[in-house]
Amino acid sequence: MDFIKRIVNTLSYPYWSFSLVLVAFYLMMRSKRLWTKKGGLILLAVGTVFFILSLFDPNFRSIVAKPDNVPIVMMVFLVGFFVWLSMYKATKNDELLARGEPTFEKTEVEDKIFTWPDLVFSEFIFMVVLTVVLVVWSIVLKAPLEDPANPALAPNPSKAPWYFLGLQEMLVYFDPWMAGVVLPGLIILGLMAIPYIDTSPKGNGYFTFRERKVEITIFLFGWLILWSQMIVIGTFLRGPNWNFFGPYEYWDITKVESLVNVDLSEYFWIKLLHVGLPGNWFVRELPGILLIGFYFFVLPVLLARWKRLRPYYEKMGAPRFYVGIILFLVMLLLPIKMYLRWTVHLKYFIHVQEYFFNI
Amino acid sequence: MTPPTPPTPPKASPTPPEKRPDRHYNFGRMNMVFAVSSLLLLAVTLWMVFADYAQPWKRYQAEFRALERQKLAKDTEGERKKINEQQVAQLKKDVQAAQTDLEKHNRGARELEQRIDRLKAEIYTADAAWKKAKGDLDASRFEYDTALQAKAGDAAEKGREVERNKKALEKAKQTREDLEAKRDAAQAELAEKKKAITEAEKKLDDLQSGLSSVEKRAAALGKGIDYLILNAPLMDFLQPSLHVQQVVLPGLYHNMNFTTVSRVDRCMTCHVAANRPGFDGPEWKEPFRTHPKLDVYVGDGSPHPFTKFGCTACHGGLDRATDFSRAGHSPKDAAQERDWLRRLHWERQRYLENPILPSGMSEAGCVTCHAADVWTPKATTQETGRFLLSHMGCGSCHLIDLPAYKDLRKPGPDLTRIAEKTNPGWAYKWIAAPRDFHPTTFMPHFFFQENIKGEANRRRQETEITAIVSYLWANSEKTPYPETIPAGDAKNGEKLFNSVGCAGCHIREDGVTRTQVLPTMNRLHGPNLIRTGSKVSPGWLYAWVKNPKQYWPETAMPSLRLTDPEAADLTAYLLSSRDPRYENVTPPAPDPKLRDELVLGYLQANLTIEGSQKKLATMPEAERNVYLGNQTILKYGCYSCHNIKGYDNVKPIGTELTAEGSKPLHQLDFGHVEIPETRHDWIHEKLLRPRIFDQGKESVKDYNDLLKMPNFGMSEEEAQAVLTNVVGFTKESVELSHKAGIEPRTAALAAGRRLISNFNCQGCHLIEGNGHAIKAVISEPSLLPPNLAAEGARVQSGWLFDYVHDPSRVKMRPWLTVRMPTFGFTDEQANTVLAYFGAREERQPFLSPFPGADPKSLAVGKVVFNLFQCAKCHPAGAEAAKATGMTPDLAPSLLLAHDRLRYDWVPSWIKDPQKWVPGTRMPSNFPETAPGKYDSPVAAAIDSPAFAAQKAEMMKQFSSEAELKAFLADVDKVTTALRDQIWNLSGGGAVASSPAKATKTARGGKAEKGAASVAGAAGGR
Repeated sequence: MDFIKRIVNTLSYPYWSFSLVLVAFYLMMRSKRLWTKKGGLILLAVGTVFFILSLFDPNFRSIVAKPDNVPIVMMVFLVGFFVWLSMYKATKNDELLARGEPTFEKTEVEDKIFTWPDLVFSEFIFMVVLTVVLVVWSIVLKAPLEDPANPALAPNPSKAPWYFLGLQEMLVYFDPWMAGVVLPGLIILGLMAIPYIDTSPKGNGYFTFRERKVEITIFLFGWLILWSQMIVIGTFLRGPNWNFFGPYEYWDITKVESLVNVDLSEYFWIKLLHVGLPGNWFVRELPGILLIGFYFFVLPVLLARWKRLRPYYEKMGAPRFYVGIILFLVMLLLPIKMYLRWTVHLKYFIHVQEYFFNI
Repeated sequence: MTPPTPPTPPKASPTPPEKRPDRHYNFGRMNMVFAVSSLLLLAVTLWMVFADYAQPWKRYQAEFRALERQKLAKDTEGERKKINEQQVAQLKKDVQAAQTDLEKHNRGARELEQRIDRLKAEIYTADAAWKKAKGDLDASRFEYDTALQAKAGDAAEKGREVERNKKALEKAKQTREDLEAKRDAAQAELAEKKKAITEAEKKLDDLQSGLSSVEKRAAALGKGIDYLILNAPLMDFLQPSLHVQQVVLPGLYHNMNFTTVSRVDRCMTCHVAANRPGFDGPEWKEPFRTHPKLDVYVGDGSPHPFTKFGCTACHGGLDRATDFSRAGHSPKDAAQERDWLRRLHWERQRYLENPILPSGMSEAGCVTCHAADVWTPKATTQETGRFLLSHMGCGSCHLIDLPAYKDLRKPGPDLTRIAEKTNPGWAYKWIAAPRDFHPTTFMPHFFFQENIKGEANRRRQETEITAIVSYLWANSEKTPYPETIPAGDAKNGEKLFNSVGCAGCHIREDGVTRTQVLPTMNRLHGPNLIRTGSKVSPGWLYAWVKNPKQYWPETAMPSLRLTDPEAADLTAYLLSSRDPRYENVTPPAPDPKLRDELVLGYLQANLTIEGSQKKLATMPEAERNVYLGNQTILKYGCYSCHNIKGYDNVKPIGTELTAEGSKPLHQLDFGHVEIPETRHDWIHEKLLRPRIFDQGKESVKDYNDLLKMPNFGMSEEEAQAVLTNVVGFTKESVELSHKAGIEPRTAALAAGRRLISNFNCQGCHLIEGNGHAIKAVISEPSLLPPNLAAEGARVQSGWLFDYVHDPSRVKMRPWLTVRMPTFGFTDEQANTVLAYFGAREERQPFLSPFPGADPKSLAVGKVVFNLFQCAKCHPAGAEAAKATGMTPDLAPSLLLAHDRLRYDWVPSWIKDPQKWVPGTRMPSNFPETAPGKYDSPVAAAIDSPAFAAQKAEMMKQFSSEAELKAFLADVDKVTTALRDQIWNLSGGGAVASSPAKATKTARGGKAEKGAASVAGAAGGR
């Protein structure tokens, strides 16, 4: 058992888990059998068995059973359920559409019911049940009160509310102004921009996967991997001093990680050219500036000409395509930076400490 | 018009469809779901009400009510037994008889009662009329006022209306008063008729008053229907008898980081009887017990009433909590923890900064307010702890920023002249293991501790000690003391050691532990003098005992004014204790390789690897040793406790302890040691085994990173005493008015106590009930140095000032062998002493001149002085002293009295000496008949024929015998007369008419003369 736990602990470290999750995501998007009732039940069973078995581990239990974390555990299951539900409906619809039959939604729209009593009565029952659940919850799980707030004595680890833990996890890889201001801002702007970039009428009012493969995959990649997974890591796997801990590891406050990260400029000037860092910050950071410049300003143009993306470019027109592709590249910057951090200890592409500008 | 026939539903369809076609859901099933969920909602709502209602403190209060009722029932039994049943029966019969008698013979009573009832009704009506008239008058006044202002035409009419109403009011009042007078008369008449009954009834009530009051209290605790309703769930918002008890404490804060919040203690909610006496028998268990020290804490008359200090200010814990765990109770040991877990579902409060201190450690709470006091009266564990803290020098390495730990002297001796005192071989062995040499020493073991594992580290330790010794000798002055000293008699030296006062501060015993000496801990103030012969050079010791300040000006060791032969004898005695193991030792040569490695390590702090190697190569052998010695002294912080040349402005090395009791748990490194994760368990472990938290890391850490705190060899008792202080060093904030040592009186007390403990006055004297450590060698109580209980009220400030400056100027008790030493106090220190004594007795420093004696008083004084045979013990003159001889039965000469004593104190002292100084040998001549009331035996005695002459003598001053008798019967007058006689004898007893002389004597200006007289008195020896 310890051996398995050790394996799980090792595999859960971000550089493994992230890669594994990427592979799983790829398989998931390719799979059809997963999005059936059987597939869903198997997923649920696997998740539940893993969770229940893990509860026997005291370290796992102490983290998961913290009153703060209980709702987040529930939410992990909910996220899985709703992803499955929509994909299940989408796959079913795809089959119906392939056979030329009307979709679920269409059948439902034709089948009308009365507000009273059908809707109101069922709503009322749900209200009663929800009240029961909330009352029981509030009696059984006491409010997790801690010390009075003390600016001189922050708790360790200091954690943001759960919904910000994805952002806090980004702070590991990015400068605060990037992780805390630019990226969240772009997430909101990007979500607002989706309807203007993606004007395809397909999938309006009904679930479908086949007709919207690329869009749904990109969205789920951002939502599941870059957002939800990061929240899970931040909630359950980040312990004292924001060190990483496997799910069965004890949160040892004295744990020390060797963290020496290197800037791109140092790689370029010192390791590659064997000269000292130039005194002028602009010259020093030129490699990084050129690289980022290439990433955001040249790469989109090259991609527009790529034969796989050419049809999208023509269909969407230049403005939509470029805005979309740049937002997509911003999103990709996170996994790229994560991998570079794990593999070559990259600190920043551009590190202008003179003006607190770091990417 | 006929109504349209409704469509007939399909009535008798054989099987009604489960689902109606126009419904989406199956409503039969929906109704079931609804019913079940509604019932669930009802159930959880009831659960919620119950969960909110069922709080443990209610159970405790209810249980206490039941227990108290049982107690009262027992008390009732007791009360009942006290009552004479026959008497009660007789009285009841009397009442009955009177009643029948009244009914038989006088029917007028019934009519009288009826009349009174009628009158009462009439009075009620008249009163209502009067109230109405008053209202009318007020209203008409307002209308008149308004009309006048508006200059209305009917103003005059309104004015008349006011007048009419005034008259009506007067009339109504008259009517009511007439009726009231009639009623009173009738009632008086009735009372007269019923007199017999009321009297009997009153007697009965008086007899049964104890019983009925207990019964009333028991009835109030009953579980009647009103109790059940008032305390029922959801009904308890009205006025439940079970409710949270709290006391708001405005002066005691919680620091909430951004703001302060007053404490609100709710402990009494469960500890119901904490402030009520009588619940301390063995049958009472917590939380129902009375506070064990009600006279000091909690009680209304105590110095710390709970209405001002609450509970959590001392005990710690979450003030507002009403739940056992949430309040922060801490178990004192594993057994209690198991018990609590089982019975009370106890949980440790991880986030509570200051949990309740475990029982036995409560005295730690004193520190919050008594941070300025070196000791806190009546807190014995704490007092021992503070003695240990200052003698072990905790505050030397660890900054303790509390007034009591400010400006403490360094506990270790001066080492700037160590080469003159001892030799390097001894120093090496001493540093390696001080307790091997002096079993009771406070000097801790720095070396060869449990975290030093492996031969290499052991050799490193040896090298470090050698280096320290090299540094000390290289930096010591070396003016040699004479080799030869006068020969002395060790036997006589021993006698001196045990009699002149050395034993107040020193012991000379092998094979004892500090804990064994702790009951007389003041004797640990100076070093144990065992094996002195193997430690110091004879020339040094001879010079030292004669005058310690010549070697070390700041030493606390006083001069006992030894003569040269005495010093020689004492030196011989001290040198006679030797241990060959410590003689002719040469310190081992340092291991050159390890030494150079250590030196290199220190050099690399400032130099490059190459630079440090070069530097090392240039250092000669001896310099390397001294260099390492310097670094090692810095590493272990030796300079914090000892004066060593070269460390003038170096900061101490220890962690600050000022807020150790509030230190967050995560800042304490528990390492791999399995102990409960609490602050007090960590500190306790650290005190007993300072290096324990290196356990398992000995080979992981670098040599210089290993823990360095030295081992004091503390016993469990010592560790508890120190712990009881350290956990009290908290960040708790209280208003200044709650702190001791702030307002002038307590500040004077605090400063005095600090001085007293610095100079170890309690080694010889009894002060605030503690001290007399020297009892260990002086068993005869009359030969002990005096108890200073009443000192502030007793002696004149000027006299005391002169005396502590130079005790040799007067010998008050010539029969004592113990000498009051010369401490060489500065004026400031001497003033601190008298301010302290004055503050303790709440006296002002100076008195106006002695007013002089009244001739009557003087005449009586003379007679009574002889009557009581005062001079038998108090040599009042050379003659008297000769007559009695110099035995320890004597008391101080009265010739000193007017210079030394405060004239306002002497009469009250004579009246009741035991009240001032418990255990004094001064007899009480005036029996105390009731608290504060004394009887004078003189008035009766004077009639005896044996005293006829004295009576005649006194009568010269009195106009009548009655006047004399009255004078003699008044204890205050007689004691004052005695005082006047004493003042007269000692030359200060000026008769009222010569104020000039009085002025001169009042300030003790005649100390020389007093001293001379005593010398004369003492001449009888």
